[in-house]
Amino acid sequence: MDQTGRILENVTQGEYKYGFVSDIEAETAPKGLNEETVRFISRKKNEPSWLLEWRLKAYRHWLTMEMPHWQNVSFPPIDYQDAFYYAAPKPKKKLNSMNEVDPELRATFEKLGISLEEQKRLSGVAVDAVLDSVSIATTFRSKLAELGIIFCSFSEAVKEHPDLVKKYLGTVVPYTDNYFAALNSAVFSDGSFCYIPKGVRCPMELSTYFRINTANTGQFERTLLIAEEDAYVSYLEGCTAPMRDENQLHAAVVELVALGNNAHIKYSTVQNWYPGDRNGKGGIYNFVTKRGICIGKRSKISWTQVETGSAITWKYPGCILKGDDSVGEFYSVAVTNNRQQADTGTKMIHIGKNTRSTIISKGISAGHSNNSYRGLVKISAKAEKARNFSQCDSLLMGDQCGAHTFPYLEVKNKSATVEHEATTSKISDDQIFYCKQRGLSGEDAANLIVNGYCKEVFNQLPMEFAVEAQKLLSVTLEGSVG
Amino acid sequence: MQAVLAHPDIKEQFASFPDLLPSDAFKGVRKQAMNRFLSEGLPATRDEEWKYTDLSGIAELRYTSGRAAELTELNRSQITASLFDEQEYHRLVFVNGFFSGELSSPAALPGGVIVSDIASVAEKHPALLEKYFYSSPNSLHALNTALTAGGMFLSVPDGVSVSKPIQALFFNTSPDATAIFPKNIILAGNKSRVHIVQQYASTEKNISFTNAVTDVSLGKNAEMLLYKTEALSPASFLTDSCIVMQQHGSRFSSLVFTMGGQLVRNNLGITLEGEQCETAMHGLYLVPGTGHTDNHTFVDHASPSCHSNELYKGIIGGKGTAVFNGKIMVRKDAQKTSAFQSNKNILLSDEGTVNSKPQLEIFADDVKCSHGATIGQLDEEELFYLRARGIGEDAAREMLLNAFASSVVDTIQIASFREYMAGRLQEYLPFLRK
Repeated sequence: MDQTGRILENVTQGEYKYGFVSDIEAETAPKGLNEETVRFISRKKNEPSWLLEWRLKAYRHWLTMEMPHWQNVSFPPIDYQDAFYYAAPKPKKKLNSMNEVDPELRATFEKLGISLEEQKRLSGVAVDAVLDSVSIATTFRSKLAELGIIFCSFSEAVKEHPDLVKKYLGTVVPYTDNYFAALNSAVFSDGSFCYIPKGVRCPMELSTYFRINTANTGQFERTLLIAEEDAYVSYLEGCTAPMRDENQLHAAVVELVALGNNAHIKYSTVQNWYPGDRNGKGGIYNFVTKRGICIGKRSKISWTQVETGSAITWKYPGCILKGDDSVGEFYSVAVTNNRQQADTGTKMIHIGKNTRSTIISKGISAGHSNNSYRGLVKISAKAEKARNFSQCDSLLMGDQCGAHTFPYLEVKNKSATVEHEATTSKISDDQIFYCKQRGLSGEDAANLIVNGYCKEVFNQLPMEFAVEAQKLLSVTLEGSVG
Repeated sequence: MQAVLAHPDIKEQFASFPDLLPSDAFKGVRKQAMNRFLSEGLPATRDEEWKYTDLSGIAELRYTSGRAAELTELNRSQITASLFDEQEYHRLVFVNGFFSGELSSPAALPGGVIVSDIASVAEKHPALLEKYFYSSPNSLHALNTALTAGGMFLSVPDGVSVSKPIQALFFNTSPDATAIFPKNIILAGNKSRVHIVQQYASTEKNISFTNAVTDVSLGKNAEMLLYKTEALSPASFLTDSCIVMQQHGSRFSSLVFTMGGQLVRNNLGITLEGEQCETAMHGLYLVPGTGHTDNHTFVDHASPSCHSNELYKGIIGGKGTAVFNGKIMVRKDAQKTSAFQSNKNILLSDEGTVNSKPQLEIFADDVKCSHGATIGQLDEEELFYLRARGIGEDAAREMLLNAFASSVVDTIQIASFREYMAGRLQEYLPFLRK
């Protein structure tokens, strides 16, 4: 085997570095899914009756739906009765400072390299840490409250701002949208809620650190972000999960509403959940519905995602561009290694006049993995002068993996301009040779080249995240310099 | 319209069609094929391959086979006008699906080359066809196998080069709805060379459903040009499947030129079985106000070191709809593949629709593959440039559209046909603005 092959092998064989189970007692709902489970969750969370009704409607609708089959990923059928739908750390007394947070929990975060204190002190990030569904600690709350920004867990929002939740819940992703959205709507446990009032520019990056912790707990997060006129918010979502042998389902729903004119929402994700071992055993199923709607004129929604983990990633963060002159963006890096599968991309629905969208997608496949880009650009008849540019590149590292592109372009307006470009290639021997000649090892050379390849997307990430993303990328591909 | 009249279901209609192939050799396989069609029916839009193309309009007519259609003097002169110069082309003419010996003129051919009608080959040498009446990949293909009454048979032996191009004209004249099932078989031996122009045309008043299948095979180092024009009346349906197999070192170049028709669906599937094959696919579709044109292409890079290049362009007017789905598959062992694909569309009206789906599926790592798709309109600045020089708006638009489309026409390697196509393009462009 040549040098390149060996390096590839090394990287490909890297084990998941974030595999540990933190031992916090969890209060779980009985295994299985039925109306009683839905009621149990709702009861546990002291929810108002309208929310329970909504959950039940979603659950009943879910029963009528069938699992979709069009996706380019395969997995054994999921037994929805063989999972827990609710797990929360046992309630503890109210915390006034970080020191009161469970030391074990804090250690968990430290292992992940995101000590809350450090984040608080160094990066000025307000962290709403979600460990298995219930928010543990929220920082900077008072600072944000001064500006009128609401940033809290979903359950708190239901209690404290029921009008807002009731008004916007399910407006972007209705429970009828798809199979997993319906499931989420029925059993969602917690999540984040954020409201930015008119004219406010959120002074810090809002961040939530999700962790799936209790074995066998499907994590059903629900996030709702609302930005009023001239408001700006940048929201970060990052995830790692401990090593487990049983597949865990993660079916979250994220809804973004850029409500007012000039509202701007930036949503960034770094995902490195457990991808399963080298033979494809275990790993997270990441089946997430993310969608934003630009209602205001000149409003903007920007999705950035770096997907390195999960056994299966299957999601299409999309934008509905309804307001005139609104803008949608999608920047994505999806890396698959070993037996990972990814079918991801975006949907840009142009409805308003002069709406613009940009799609930059970078796929990297190594090992025996399969990586697909699937994207829809739809220009409706009324979307005068709509503009779209899409570029999706695939990089293959190894001859056992696959890269696929399924773009759908649907145009019904003559003044629209839609461009789509895609390339597939490997790291050329010349590039590697050039770097090696200058004293870099094969692996460093590959890292350098892959990072360069992803730069367009990393540039969109907030700085702290970009660093983490680069680190993740090199860990995921460790040794797979092609 | 006929659509409102009560008539039997499309399956029953075709089940009761007579067997018009003068041979008993294929009865069994044709029966099987018919059963396949009867169990599946016409493809529906819930099938991903047919997502954007609805064939239900086809089922709304009552069809007859083309046999009984009378050929009037007017028809005869229309057909003759469509024929190319006898000195330059071998000609094969099918009227309403049936071979016309009178209008055809396959002049003296080099040794061993057979140009004939499938029906007569089936009658005299059924063994030659056995391989091509196979169990079908889909229901439309099955329907063709079950009901074909003729088509072009062309066989070029090893090492033979056919100097004159072959024109195969399928002309539909009947004003009553006819269903026509041409089956074409084109076999090019090792190191052979042949150029073919395949044409589907009709009278202005014609109503027809043509469901064609063309099986093409290229031997080692063979070279073939296969140009196709589809100029059908606004009430005609055409579904065409072209299946190409290429052996080591062969070179294949295709062109599909569609203008008009109510609904046209072209499936072009090319399998690069041998190494070092080259394949080029070009397409130009001019979709008028009421038309629907769908091009599905599939290149299967099954062997290493092959090269494919694809360029499809379209201009869509009125309420027309264009669909493009280009798929490139690179198999696991097909290293050193280079595959390029481009689809460009100009939408002339707000009521028109373009659905483009370029698709890559790649399982090998040492490859260069790219695809691109654009949908847009004429560049305002280019228009302004021309108008500033005193050219009227309509003329300027036509000039730019002509330039857009010419890059496809210019790839035609038969000089006389290229000129003919450039002329047709010029004639047809004004129709698109209606």
